[in-house]
Amino acid sequence: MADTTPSHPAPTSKRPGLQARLNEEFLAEVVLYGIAAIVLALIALRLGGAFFNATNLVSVLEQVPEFALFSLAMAIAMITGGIDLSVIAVADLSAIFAAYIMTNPSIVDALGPDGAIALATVVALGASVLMGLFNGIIIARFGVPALVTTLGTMLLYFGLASGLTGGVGITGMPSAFTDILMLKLGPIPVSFCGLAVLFVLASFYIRNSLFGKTLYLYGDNKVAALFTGLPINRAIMISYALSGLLAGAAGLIMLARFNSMKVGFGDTFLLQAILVAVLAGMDPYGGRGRLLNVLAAVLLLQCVENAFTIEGLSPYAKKMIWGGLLLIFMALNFFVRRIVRRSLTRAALRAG
Amino acid sequence: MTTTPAFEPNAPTPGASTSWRERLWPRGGSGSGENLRLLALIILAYVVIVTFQSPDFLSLASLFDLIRTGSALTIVALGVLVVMVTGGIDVSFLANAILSAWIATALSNALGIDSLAFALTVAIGIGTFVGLVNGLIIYLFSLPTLITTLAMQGVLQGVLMVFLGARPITAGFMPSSLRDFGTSVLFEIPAGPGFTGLSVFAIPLVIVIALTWYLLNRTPIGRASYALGSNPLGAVRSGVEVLKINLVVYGYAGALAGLTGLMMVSEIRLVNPVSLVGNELIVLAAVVIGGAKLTGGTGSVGGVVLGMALITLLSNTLVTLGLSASWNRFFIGAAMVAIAAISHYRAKQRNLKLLNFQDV
Repeated sequence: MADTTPSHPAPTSKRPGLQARLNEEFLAEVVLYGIAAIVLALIALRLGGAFFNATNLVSVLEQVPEFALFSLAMAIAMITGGIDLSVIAVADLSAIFAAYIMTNPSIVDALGPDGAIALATVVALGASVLMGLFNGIIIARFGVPALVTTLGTMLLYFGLASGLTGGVGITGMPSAFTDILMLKLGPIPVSFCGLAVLFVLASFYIRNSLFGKTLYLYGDNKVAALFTGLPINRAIMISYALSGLLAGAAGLIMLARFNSMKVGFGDTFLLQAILVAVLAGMDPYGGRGRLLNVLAAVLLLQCVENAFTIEGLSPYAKKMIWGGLLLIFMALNFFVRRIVRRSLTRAALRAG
Repeated sequence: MTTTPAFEPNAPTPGASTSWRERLWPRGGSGSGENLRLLALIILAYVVIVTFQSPDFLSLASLFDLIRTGSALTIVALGVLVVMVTGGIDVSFLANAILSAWIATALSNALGIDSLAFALTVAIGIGTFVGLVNGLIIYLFSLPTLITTLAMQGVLQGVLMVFLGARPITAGFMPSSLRDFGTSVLFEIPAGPGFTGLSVFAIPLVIVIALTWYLLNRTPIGRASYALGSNPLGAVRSGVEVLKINLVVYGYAGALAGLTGLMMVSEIRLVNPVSLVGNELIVLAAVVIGGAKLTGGTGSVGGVVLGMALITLLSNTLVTLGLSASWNRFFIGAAMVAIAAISHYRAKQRNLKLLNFQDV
């Protein structure tokens, strides 16, 4: 936590704001890992070997990449006190571009199958960055709240995708593309290894770079951030472009997994991504939370999801449980925060 | 904080000098009034384009069609407007609508009561209850409203599908009073080969428009709602009871959701528990296009009606322009982003001039 301490001593020795923030983050982590321990213990009691076997645990790791990428995109937006509701639409639209390229015979003839895959990847990721950047421009330059912006662009991107495809799915990707998810490093899927590296790097970078600190500062106190003279607008735009890029990557992984793409694929991830970000201690009002915890929360939720599937719950039952959990976590975080603030106030009063 | 005005200049400031017309249709130097005029111009231009494509579009029959297809969503959009004025948002309304409508229909069937009044009472009652729950938990835990109501949407759908085990109720099993509600007309005029009539939906539409306008502009609660949306801290310090406002606005939105649910199922003559949900964005887009800001404090009844009119026109007539209905969402999204960008950019410039850095 030393990285957030200013390099020079603060003029007054008491800094309850910063102290409170650190404690809240720490307590949110305690809540997260406490819940994780309880949930895993419950699953172990109820399902035992039916859940805790090598095949199932590896399948959990295989299933998380797109979910984790959506959650990471959501979490980055939440650091700034924003939200990105367009992630699923960005993923669908960019994956549709990729699917068009890979299944277009003339492009495949001209570039060869591997060339077409490379072109599709570049176009999809490029398109997703542009879509994210568009969000960022509307938010930062025009001052539209992230919620309205991404609601609007969600309609826009979904509309563009369904207009272009007429609502029909595109199928038949080359096997060289769909096989990416099959690659394994020992028992562990390569996709998960890449994901873990990405999370470690992203978490480290966003806590230590000026860019990341700008995002946290903006999320914590907009007005103060404006008066620092930091390039706030640029940082916000880059952060939404990053969210777009992550969503685009998630779209490609969904395309490889389902071997087809259609408007609306993956829309259940939206509620789950928000749930994961909140569970991981990202404050929806901005400025708090660590990205590495998002990966832990994703893994926890995927374990629960698998357990539900083993139990045979319907999708609506799952949706209800996710919604209920989200409400409970937010209420829990509220109480945690209140306890921290009260104890800090009391300590400050005692100190005079 | 001190530079923040108690009311945004473009909020319809309560006072004796403003006429009713100003409140419904604010004008003169305010972003909101310009927005409304811009919106009216866009609708007019669009109608002209469509009329060029198919000359018989410009008729009373088209207007009646617009009212029949648009009134249910306009009613729920007015509920969302009231929530947005206070600076909140509600995305659980369609899940609430279908839950209320399904329970009302199923209860009518179970008790053998074939009465529209009974169904309306049940639907509006359940809708109100769900809305009150929203308002209460948002207040108690000071939660972000979007995430709360999004979670609520999942919970409501789950309750309907899992606990109540809802199955679709087809027209044959619907109470006849409900089926008639969807097809009744107030009066008929000759149109083309047959007759077309003004749907009975016009009555609840007019009532809700009048009621919402009255609530927002003529009651202390309406004033407090605008105040709470413009400047929450200032509103609380001047004695606004946040819990009361929350309960009223979310309860009102819930009641309108229940009414909308019943209207929609009687229009399509099918109570499908998995329908409706997913169209929330269209309603939110209408409210935003009508000039309401998610940051609260702005928005007018006239704006919502015009915004919904534009969206209903788009979805009714896109085919006549040679575009498939799949482009619908694209145009709605484009309109929403464009109008939000214009109005927020103006507000940003104005706030910078006023040295108000809160809303930049």
